[in-house]
Amino acid sequence: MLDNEMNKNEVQVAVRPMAMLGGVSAGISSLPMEGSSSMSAMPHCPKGGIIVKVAYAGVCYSEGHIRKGHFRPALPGPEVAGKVYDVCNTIPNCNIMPGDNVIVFPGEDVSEHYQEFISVEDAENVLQVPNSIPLEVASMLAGSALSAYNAVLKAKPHVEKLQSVKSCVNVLIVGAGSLGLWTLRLANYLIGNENSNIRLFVADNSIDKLITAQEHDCHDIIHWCEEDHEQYIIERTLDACRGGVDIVVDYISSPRTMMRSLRVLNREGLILVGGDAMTEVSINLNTLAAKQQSIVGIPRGTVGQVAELVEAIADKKIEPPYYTVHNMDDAKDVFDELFNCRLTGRAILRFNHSNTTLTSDVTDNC
Amino acid sequence: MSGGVKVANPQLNRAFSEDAGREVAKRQRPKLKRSLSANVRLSFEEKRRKIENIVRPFILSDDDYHKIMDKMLDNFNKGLGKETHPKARVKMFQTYKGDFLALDLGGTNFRVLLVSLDGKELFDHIAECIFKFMKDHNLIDKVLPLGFTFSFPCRQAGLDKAILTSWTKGFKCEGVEGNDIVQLLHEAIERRGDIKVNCMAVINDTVGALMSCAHSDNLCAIGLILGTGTNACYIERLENVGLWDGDWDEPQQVIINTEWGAFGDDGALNFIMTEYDQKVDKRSINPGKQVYEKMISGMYMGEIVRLVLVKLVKHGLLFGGRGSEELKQMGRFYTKYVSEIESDVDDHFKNTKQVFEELEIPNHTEEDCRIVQHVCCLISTRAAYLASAGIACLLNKMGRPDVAVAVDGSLYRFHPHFHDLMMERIQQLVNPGITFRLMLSHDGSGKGAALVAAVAHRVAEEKQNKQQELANGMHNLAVDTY
Repeated sequence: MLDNEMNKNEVQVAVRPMAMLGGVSAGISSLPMEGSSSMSAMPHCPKGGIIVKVAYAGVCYSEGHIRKGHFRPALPGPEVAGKVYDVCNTIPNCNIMPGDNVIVFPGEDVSEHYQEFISVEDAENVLQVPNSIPLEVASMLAGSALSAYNAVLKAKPHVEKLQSVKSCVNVLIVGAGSLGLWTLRLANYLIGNENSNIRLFVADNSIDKLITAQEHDCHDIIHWCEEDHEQYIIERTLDACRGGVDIVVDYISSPRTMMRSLRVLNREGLILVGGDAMTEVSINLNTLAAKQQSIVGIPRGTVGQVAELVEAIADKKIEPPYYTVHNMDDAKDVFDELFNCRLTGRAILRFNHSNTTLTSDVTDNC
Repeated sequence: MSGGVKVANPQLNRAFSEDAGREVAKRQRPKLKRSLSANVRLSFEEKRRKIENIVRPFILSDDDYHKIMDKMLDNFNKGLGKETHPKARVKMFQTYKGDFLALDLGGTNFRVLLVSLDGKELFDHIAECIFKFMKDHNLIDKVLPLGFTFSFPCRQAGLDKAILTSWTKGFKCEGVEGNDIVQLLHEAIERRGDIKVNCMAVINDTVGALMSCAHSDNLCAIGLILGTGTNACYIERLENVGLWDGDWDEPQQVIINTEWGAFGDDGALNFIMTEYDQKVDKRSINPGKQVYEKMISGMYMGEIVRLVLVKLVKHGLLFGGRGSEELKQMGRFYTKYVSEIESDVDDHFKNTKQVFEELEIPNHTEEDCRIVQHVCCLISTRAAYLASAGIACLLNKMGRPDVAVAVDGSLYRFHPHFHDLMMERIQQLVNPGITFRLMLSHDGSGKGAALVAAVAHRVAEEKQNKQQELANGMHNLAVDTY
């Protein structure tokens, strides 16, 4: 079907390009199991774009977000994996086919978020996932895994510089959620654990999350209990990270975590910050200058990097961290449990496909 | 958020009278009266009056404090007396002095991890911590003498035998009360089979504080803890210890662990208890117990403040009558907020505003900051004065002309005014002719991520050098991990 004819079909019904038999057929495109409600929610396939039917979505939230009374994270959110539903046929050299397992790279051009279908305008933002990777694992790759990847990449040169002059380099990860756990996995992979002089520490308010983190190859866990005096928390941290902290990866970036980080940070230390802060933070720049420390934002990451992650996971070079999978119907309970820290690691929601799931549930990947 | 800086705040030049609270409010009043119409000013006065009425119960008179001191002395003597000891609320346990490496259980760093375990799990965990420490320091093959700083009320039958009488400070592990904690730990270590730990001794954290200060000031005769809980120990003459059945060699004295937190359990403090104290007690894990402690220590101070703030909000006197869900949660107003809010010294109220943000208070004014600071002030001041009454009572009882008081605990270390308040108050209450000083004990239980305060390599060397001094006892080699 030609491009201009595609444009004419601005109705909800999408046409399967592979099924072109000389004309549009509404019959072919009304797929089984789609109720009328989802039919009305179906976006049209953008020119040059792809429609993905969401299979799994990771529940992502920031620390401040979750404390609000009505915790309703945006769904599907930034961690999405699913199957291709429709592909615009004008995409050159496109080997993506309907039915392929894919990840959606979240970006500004992911227009028209519908409950189950995502319309992606730029086909470049859809990555194929080999069958060897469970789709639920894939869902995390363009989200928390990608951020963690960028944090570790940014930290790497600094770590290597320090390694050559220090007997021990201490890296502190603030936040033991999915971001923190992925950081542990990726740090162990990229900064190497043949060098035992790099020590990874994880700090969090939740003991349950810390216990989960302990199973991901960190040197020690540090309880940043919000009830405790700041000075105790700092002493506790310095006690664990003997010699002070050289690099902090702070995904929470609240006034308190930043203050603690700066108090434990060594000269020439580096703080990498995520972008989820809910409030402004004030920092004394004089101290920063005096101690030659730096604060750097963690970059968003690129599609290319997601592809690298996909490859590394497929080659079994990295094992995904702990996560849990839940049915969409249980979403409310899941939010509740996340709020109370009864769930650790990423909680992934499975969208209601009563028929095929290619892989069985993996609820414990440790 | 400064830590541990005790600065005498010139604004807090308190008059020790019933008008103390009014003094504070008077200082703040001129600022409240800024450029406002007469009508509004009137309701300001009314508002202030209503607030004062709500918080007045926290301001106690000199007579009150003297009465408390008398009652405390009475309780101390009951605890020491042979016949009266069994029914006494303030137990005045005898302690033993010894030479050992210390493992610290009961400080802030330990509590949070272990509230949900049972006794066996608790001691298995402690044994594991010891193992980890010994492994980290290459001490696995050594047979170490280990001492146990156990900061809960214990009846000590010997240097290495201590029976927990009851948990305090929010702890609740089944199967430990009534048992010898040294034995429980020994059993856990044997279950592991991979470490050898020997010559155990148990001391209380107050004794630890006293001993570590005695190193530098040999006139140290009182150890005081002002942290999650409160307790004090002091040096008593043997002739006053009714239950003493040990030897009468010189020096004829023993360290008494007062366990003074239990003062008031028989109702002795009912005459000063506020409705907020009663609420806190009722909702605690050990209602009716540790009454004195609950009015002083860090475990409860934040909650008392919170209850007052909630009442003020309810009456429309704070935050325009609108608080937040966070503020309504029990335990949500952390005691550290009290220190942080009182550390604000100017009108920017930086710390106070940050606390309001964290509590998600939607609308707050500068006046609200002032009111909250005032409430924190009154409650922390009362705590400091109550503790002062206890110390003054001990100083008077001992009658020594020159005494150093070793103090440890988060409340003392981090609250900006606690030290100064106590110095002033004790001076007022103590008998003439007695000189005293408060010293921060660096033996703090705040250190130690590994949850084991243990002996570093250098102390093992020191120990060799100090073998001559062992005969004199009184050495606590409790050292932190660096």
